[in-house]
Amino acid sequence: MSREDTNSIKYILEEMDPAEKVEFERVMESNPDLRIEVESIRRMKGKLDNLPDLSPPKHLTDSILTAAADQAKRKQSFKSGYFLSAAVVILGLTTGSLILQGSFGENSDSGIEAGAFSSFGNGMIKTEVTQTSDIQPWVDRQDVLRLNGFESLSGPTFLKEAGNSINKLRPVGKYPASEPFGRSVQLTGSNR
Amino acid sequence: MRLNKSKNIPDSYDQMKDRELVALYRENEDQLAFKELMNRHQAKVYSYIFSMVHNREVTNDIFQETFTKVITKMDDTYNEQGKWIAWVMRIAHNATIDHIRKQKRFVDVKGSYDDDSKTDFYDRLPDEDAVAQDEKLELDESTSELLKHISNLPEEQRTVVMLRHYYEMPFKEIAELTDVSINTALGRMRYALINLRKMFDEELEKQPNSV
Repeated sequence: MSREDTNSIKYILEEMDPAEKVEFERVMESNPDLRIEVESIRRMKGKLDNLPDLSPPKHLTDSILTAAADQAKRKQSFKSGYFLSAAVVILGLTTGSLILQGSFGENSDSGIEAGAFSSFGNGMIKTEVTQTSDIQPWVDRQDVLRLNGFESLSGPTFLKEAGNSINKLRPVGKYPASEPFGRSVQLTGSNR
Repeated sequence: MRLNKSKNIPDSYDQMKDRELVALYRENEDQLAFKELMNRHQAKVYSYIFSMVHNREVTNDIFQETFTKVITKMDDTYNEQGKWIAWVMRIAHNATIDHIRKQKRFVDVKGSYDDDSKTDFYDRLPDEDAVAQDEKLELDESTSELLKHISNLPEEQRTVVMLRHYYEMPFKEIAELTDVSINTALGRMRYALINLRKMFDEELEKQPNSV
């Protein structure tokens, strides 16, 4: 469809900008066929203007409005449920966080055993956390026996744990020749 | 044409823009806002569908389908940047075109003689005049003649004419909705009006007292 072909309809439907309109009217002046076409299309457009607006039957609009109301109610109940769930989750997270904060706070002071207390509503919940130390002996490249995990221990606990760790040491029975620099624990301090 | 205004609809709703009403319905589940939207646009949506299918029952079905989608999809698919009515029209237009294409497929099914029903292809063609006669009962003669001619336009031309008439839709929007260039949409409008004029002329020539 060329631009010239659509000019008449653009003119009638006022889809032209003012400059285009002036130009088109100038062309129309000198072109009787174009004038006839424009007039014919304009008359037809006038007939279309008489097309009636039809209304949907009342029962139809009523049923649509009812459906809209139902949808609104569903949304409302969904929103309520959503907010309730969100509130429960937030409450749970907050409580959990408080409990954990309490227990870690105690731990940092004592190291091994801690009792964490936190209040929940009117009652008191006691959370007892017992950490068992896991001290592991190992031998470094200079064949020095080292025990990991003693850093946080002191006093009688240190001695008790050290004793336990020593008990974990086992003499090497048959040392594999293929592992000259093995990291196994050896009481002699030598790998030969 | 508007629904009877409910006493419950505050006057302020009359003054609101579509997008404000849509926001009220979406965010506050305000049913009165939705009712006001229906009041404003239902007749044009209904008339557009009717002008395309020329059958009250089918129009009712498509109208209901359109607004059911509007209600259920407004939260998900309507983008508030665009005009609400253009979005509704797109749904109505797609539902209408779907129906028309299904009808065409139905007509195209079988061309040979059917032993069961003892009918041939021509017997089974839908009697469009009969439908038009039914609808004529409610409309004056010149309007029903106009509707009959519009129904005889090719679907693409009819769509452009009706979108323009009922929505005063700019050709840019018509072009987007029908997935063609603006020039093509304008051309379809021009051909539609020329074809309508020819149909009226032919009708006039058929009349016994015409010279």
